[in-house]
Amino acid sequence: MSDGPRFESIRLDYGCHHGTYRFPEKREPVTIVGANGSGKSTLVEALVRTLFGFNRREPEAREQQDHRRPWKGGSFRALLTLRDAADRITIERDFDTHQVVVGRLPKAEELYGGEANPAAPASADQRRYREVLQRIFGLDELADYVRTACVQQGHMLETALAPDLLAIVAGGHADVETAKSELRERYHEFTLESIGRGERRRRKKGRIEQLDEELEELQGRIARVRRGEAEQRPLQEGAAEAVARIDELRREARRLEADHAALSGFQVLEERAKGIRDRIQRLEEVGADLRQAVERTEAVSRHGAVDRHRYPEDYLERLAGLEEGLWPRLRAAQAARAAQAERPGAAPASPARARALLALAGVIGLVAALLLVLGQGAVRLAGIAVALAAVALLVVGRRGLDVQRRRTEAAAAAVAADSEIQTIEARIAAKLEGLPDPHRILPETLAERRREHAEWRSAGDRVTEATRRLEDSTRRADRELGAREDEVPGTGPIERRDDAVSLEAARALIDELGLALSRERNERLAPTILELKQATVAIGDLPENVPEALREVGERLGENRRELEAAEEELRELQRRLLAVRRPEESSVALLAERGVREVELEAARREAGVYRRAHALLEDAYQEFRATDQDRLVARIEAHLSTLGDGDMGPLVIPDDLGSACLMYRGRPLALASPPLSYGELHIALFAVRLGAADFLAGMGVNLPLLVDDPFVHLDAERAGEMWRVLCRIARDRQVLLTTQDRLVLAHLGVRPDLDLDGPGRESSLQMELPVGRSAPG
Amino acid sequence: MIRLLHIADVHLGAAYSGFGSIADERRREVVAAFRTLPDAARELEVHAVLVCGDLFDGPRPEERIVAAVREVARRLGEVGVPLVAIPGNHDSTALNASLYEDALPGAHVFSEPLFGPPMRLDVGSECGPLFVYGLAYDRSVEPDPLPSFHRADDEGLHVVLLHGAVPDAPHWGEPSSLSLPLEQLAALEADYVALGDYHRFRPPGAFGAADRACYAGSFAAVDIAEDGPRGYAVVELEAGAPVQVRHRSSGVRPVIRLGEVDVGACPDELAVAELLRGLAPQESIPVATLTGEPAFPLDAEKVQVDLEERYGCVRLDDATRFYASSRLFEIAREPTVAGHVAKLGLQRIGEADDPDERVEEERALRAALRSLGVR
Repeated sequence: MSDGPRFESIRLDYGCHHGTYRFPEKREPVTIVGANGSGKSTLVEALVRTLFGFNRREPEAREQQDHRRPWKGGSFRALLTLRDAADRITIERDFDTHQVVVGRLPKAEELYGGEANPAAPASADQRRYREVLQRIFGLDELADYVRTACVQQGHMLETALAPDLLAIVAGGHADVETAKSELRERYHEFTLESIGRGERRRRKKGRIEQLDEELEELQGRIARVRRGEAEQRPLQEGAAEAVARIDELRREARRLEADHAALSGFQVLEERAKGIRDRIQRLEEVGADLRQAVERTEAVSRHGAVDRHRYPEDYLERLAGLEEGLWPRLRAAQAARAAQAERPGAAPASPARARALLALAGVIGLVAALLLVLGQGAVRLAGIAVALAAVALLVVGRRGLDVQRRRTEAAAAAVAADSEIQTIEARIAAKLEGLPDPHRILPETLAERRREHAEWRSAGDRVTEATRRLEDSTRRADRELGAREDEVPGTGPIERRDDAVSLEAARALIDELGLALSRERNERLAPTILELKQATVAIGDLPENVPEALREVGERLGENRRELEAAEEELRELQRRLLAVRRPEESSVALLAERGVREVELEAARREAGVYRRAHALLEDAYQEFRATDQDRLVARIEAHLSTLGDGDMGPLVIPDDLGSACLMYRGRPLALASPPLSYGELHIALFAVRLGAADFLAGMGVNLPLLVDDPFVHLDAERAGEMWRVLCRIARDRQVLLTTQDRLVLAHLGVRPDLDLDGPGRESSLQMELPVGRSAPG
Repeated sequence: MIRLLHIADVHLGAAYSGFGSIADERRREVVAAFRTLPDAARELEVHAVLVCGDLFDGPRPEERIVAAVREVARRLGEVGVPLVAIPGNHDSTALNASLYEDALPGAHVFSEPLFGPPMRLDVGSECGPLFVYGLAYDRSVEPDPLPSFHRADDEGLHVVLLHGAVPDAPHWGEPSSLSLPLEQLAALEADYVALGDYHRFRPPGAFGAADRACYAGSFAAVDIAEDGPRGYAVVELEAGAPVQVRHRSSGVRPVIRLGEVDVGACPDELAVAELLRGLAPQESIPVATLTGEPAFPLDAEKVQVDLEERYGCVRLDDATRFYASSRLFEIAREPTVAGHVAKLGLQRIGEADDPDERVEEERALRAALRSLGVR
C-alpha cells in the first residue's frame, strides 16, 4: 500500500517566501520552527494553495490571495514537488493567471497544462485538473483537506464531525479504485465483456475473443478438411468393411485350409496305409506265385532233362514233305525208269540214208515236175510215174527220220528220269539233314518217328511251361519289388531281369520279397498306422466319412476363395475411387493439434478472466462491507486519539443519530461535540483528536494525505505536548507529517532538532538554491 | 559398422503457440538448428540420414521453409550423405503428394502406401550395402500395410522406416496414425526399425521384443508440454550385434521440467524467480509447479514475466497455498479494505463447492490483495 504523496520541496514567490524549501524524507514529523510572523502558517498555506489555488469568488480567499502577493514583487507563483512511491510530480502554479503545469520527473512529462481556477469549477480545464489532482494527491477539494489532514490553527474551531466527512472518500477509495482498475485491466486483457455491474462492454477484444475467433477460423478450416474427408468417408468405410470382410474370409480360409489339411493328411495316410497293405498283399501273392513256379520248375527238372534242340522246329513239316512229296515222287521216277529200261530197242535207222532218200525223192520229184510241165502224154505219164516214185522215196525217207527221232527221245527220257531220281534223292537227303537218326526215317517207320517226336514235344512243353511260369513269376516279383506302392501292379516300368531267369535268381528274389515284405510291414505300415492314430487324435471329431467331409471342406474353401476374390476386387475398386477423390489441402492432424492448443489457451484465458472477475467482485463486495463500517472506523479512530491525547478523560463518542449528533463523553458526562464546555486546551485536544481521526480515516481509505499540523502544541502543557508528539511520530511512520511551531522550548524538551528554521541561520541553510520558476524541473 | 542419423518429427513451420511470445523466435530457432544437420552428419561421419516423417507440420509449409529444407538436402548431397525419407501424418502424401519430392531433391522418398522393393545404398561399409524400406501411410488405401513387408534376400543391413504409434504412444488407435503392434514390429525381419510420430526418444531397450525399433523423438519440443532432451538418434548397426543408439540434442532450447518447487520460504516474487533461476539452466525453457505456503500473495505471472526476461518462455503452475498461511489470517484481522478482502475471500474459499472454483477463489483473493498492494 502506498504511503501517499509527500511534499519534497517548494519554490515560492509567495508573501514573505522567496526561495525553495526542501522537506527531508524521514519517518518522523518534519518540523518547521519560526517565531510568530516568520511565515510558518504562510508556508503551510502556500503548499495547500499551490495544490488547490485561490477561489476568488470566496471573499476570504480573495483577500488571502491579495495578501500573499510576493513582498519582493515579481510573479506570484510556486513550484511544488511531490514524491510518491513511483513518481516525482511537479505542480507549478501561477497564482495570478491560475495557469498550472503538472509534470512527471525526470522527463518532465506533462500530465496537465492549463488553467486551474477553482472559481470556475465547471470549466473543462478545472475538471481535468481536479482529475489529475485526485489521481496524484488523493483529493481534489481544498475544503476536504482543511477539514481533515490539514490542521491549521486558524481553522481549528471550524472542526466538525459531520456525515459528509464520510463522503469525502465516497467517490472512491483511491487504493481500492486503483486496485479495481488494475483488476479490470487485467480482466480486460482476457475479455471485452463487462466485469460487473455498471461497466460497459469494451470494444477492444481480449484474449478470449481473439482465441474464439482463432478457434472459429480453425474450426472453419477443420470443417473444410472434414468435408473433404466426408467425401471419402463412405468410400473409406466401404474399404474398411471390405478389409474387415477380407480379414474374416482369410481367417475362415485359414481355418478351412487347416481342416482340409488335417483331413487331407488323414486321407493321405489312409491311402498310404491302404497302398502299403495292397503292396504287402501283392508281394505276398507274387511271392507265393514265385515259390509255386520254382517248385514246379524243380519238379519238371526232376523228370530229366529235355534236349530242347533234338528236333528242329520243322521236323513234322519235313516228315510230311517226305511222306507226301518226295518219297512218292521218288518211287514214281524209279518206276518210270524201270519201265523204260524194259521196252525192246529197234535198230537205230541211219539218218544219213534217210536224208539221202529224201534228197533223191526231191530230185525225182523235180524231174517229174519237169516232165509234167514239159512233156506230154507219156512223158507226162512218165512224169507221173516218176512223181510217184519220188513220193515213195519221200515216204520212206520220212519214216526213217521218225524212227530216228523216237530213238533219240527215249534216250533223253531215260537220262531225264535218272536225273529226276537223283534230284529227289538229293532233296530227301536235304530234308533229312539235321534230323535225329535220319537213317531211321523211312516211309515204313514214319509213324514211329512221329510218335517219338510227339513224346519229345510234350516233355518240352512241360519244361517250357514251367520255365515260362517261372519267368513270369520272376518278372512279376521283380516288377513288384521295383515298383512303388502307389503304382498299379504289373505296370512298373522297370524290368531288371529280362532273361537269364534261373532258379537261383528266383530263390534270391523270394528272399528279397521276404525282406521287402518285412520292410513294408515294419518300416512303413506300422509308422503309418501310428500316424493315422495321431491324426485321428489331432482331428478330434473325426468325421465318419472322411472323403465326404474333405469334399465338403474343399467346396467351402472354393466358395471362400471366390468370395475373397470378389471382396478384394471390391476393395481395389474402392481404393481406385478413393484415389480419384480430391484430397484436403491441410492436415486435419495439425489443425486438430493446433485447435487443441488453442482450446487449452482459451480455457486458461477463461480461467484467468474468471480469477480477475472473482477478484474484482471480491474487492467490490469487501469494499462495500468495509464502507458499511466507515462511521464505526472514523469514530474508533477519533476515540483512539481522544483516549490518548485526553489522558483517559475524553471518550468515547456517543452517536445517538448521525455523526452530527455526536456527543463526547468527558469524565462520564456527555458533551455536545459541536460546542463542548471545555477549557481551551481540552477543546484543542478534542478538536485535534477529531482532525487526526479524520485524517487516519482517510488514510485507512487509501487517501494518504500529508498531515499538515500548524502549531499543535499551543495551549498544551508539556506532558500533553509530549503525548501529541508521540502521536504525530506514530502517524509519521506511515505518511508525511509537516509540523510547524514557534515553541522552541517544547522542541528542546522533546529533544527534537528542527528541520526548517524560519528564523535565524536555520532559515538561510534551509533556503536552497534559487530555482527558476517555470516548466523546468527542480534540481 | 554402419552409422545412421535417424531424425523424425521436426514439424518445421509449426505454430509453437504453446510457447507464447517466443513462438516466432522458436520457429526460426528450429529451422536454424535443422540447417546444421549436414554439419552434424559430416561430424558424426554417418553413412545416411533417415527422415521418419512429419518433417513439416503441415502439407503446405511456407516456401522459405521448403527452401531451407532444399538447402539441407543439397548440402547433404555435397558431403555425400544419402537421405531417405518417408512422410508422416502431418505432411502426408495423401494431402500433398509432391511435397517431399520438391523439398528433398536427390533424396529417396517412399511415397507408396505399401512396402515395395528396398532402396539400396552402397555406403562403403564392411557390413555390405544398406537396404532401406519404407512406406507413406495412407489409411484410405491400405489400413494395415505392415504385412506387405518382405525382406530382400540380399546380403547387407536392412532398415525399415515407419511413422506410426505403438500401443502406449499418444496417437495409438487414431485413424490418422499407423498402428504398430509390438509383435508386428518384432516380426519385421529388419536390422533396425526407425520410427517417427511419438515425440519422446525411445531407445530399442524400451520396446520389449521389438528390440530393434527406436523412436528418435521430436527434433525440438513442439509444445511446452514436451519436456526433456529433443534431437535425433545416432544409430550404429553391425550385423549380428545389438543396435547401438545414442540421442543427440538438436541444440534447440529444451523444455526442462523442474517439478514441484517449494517457494514457501521466499519473501517475494523476486526471490521466487531467483530460486527458479538457480534451478533451471540458462538455455532452457523451465516448467515448474510452485508449491508451499508463501507469506505473501504470490503473483506467479510476475515471476513468469521476470523469468521470461532470461528464458524467453516459462511455464509455471501455481499450486501455492497462501490461503493457508498465518499471514493471511493476520491480514483478515485488520480493519482495512485488505482485511475485509481477506476475510471475505477466506469465506468464499470455504464455501466453494468444487476444487476448480476453490482454486479460482483462492487466486482471486490473492489477486485482490495484490491489487491493494498487500505484500
